[in-house]
Amino acid sequence: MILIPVFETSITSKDEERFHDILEIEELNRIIRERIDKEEGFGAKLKEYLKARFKIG
Amino acid sequence: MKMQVKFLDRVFSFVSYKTEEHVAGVGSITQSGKHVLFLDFDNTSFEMVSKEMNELQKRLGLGNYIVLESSEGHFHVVFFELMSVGEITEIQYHFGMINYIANSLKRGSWILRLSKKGKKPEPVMREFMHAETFNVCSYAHWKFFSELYNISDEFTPKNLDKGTKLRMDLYTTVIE
Repeated sequence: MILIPVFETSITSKDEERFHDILEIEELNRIIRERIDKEEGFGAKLKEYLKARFKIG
Repeated sequence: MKMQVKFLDRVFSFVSYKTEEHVAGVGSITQSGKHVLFLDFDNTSFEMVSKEMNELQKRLGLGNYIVLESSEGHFHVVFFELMSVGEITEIQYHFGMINYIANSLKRGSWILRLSKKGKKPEPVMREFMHAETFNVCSYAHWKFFSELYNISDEFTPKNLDKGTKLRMDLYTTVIE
């Protein structure tokens, strides 16, 4: 068995990315009503919407 | 996960990589600066949460609440009254939600997850409990959750604030 030493500074977790936005309730309810895929639901739709808003790939 | 092994007076570390994904959630904060009450219960049963929330509603004279199941044995609760940070932390402290308090104070709002997280599905509503109240409630939170979970307008709280905006969060989380 080959043991590979990994020293303390070599790997660290990526910093948490956090974004928030203040949205109008009418806009949110429009997204809710636009749910197409019932299996994915609103959360997936919201995530997609926010990722586009924050230009996350 | 990191594991360390001591061998021939040397310490070797093994690191397993975790994947990260984006998660979307809704914030408790309202335009007035007050918050609605979010509670986060882990490793418990629906019956226990339901009983505790019913008692809390009666004891504090609170109005409507919903119980969401976020994954097996994990529940979120939303009350729609506007409360101060002090009032909220007192209730959460009573239920032992120390980590939820600490993380949320740092972020300026309590957040409830709405999208999937790894194998955990989107939260589903398990219970809606109606009670009449004249406490001021958040219009934006009520409109949002009642639309999302198809709660009838007949249960709309009598005394709603004028806020129409909600904070939506997008954050990375580590999937084990």
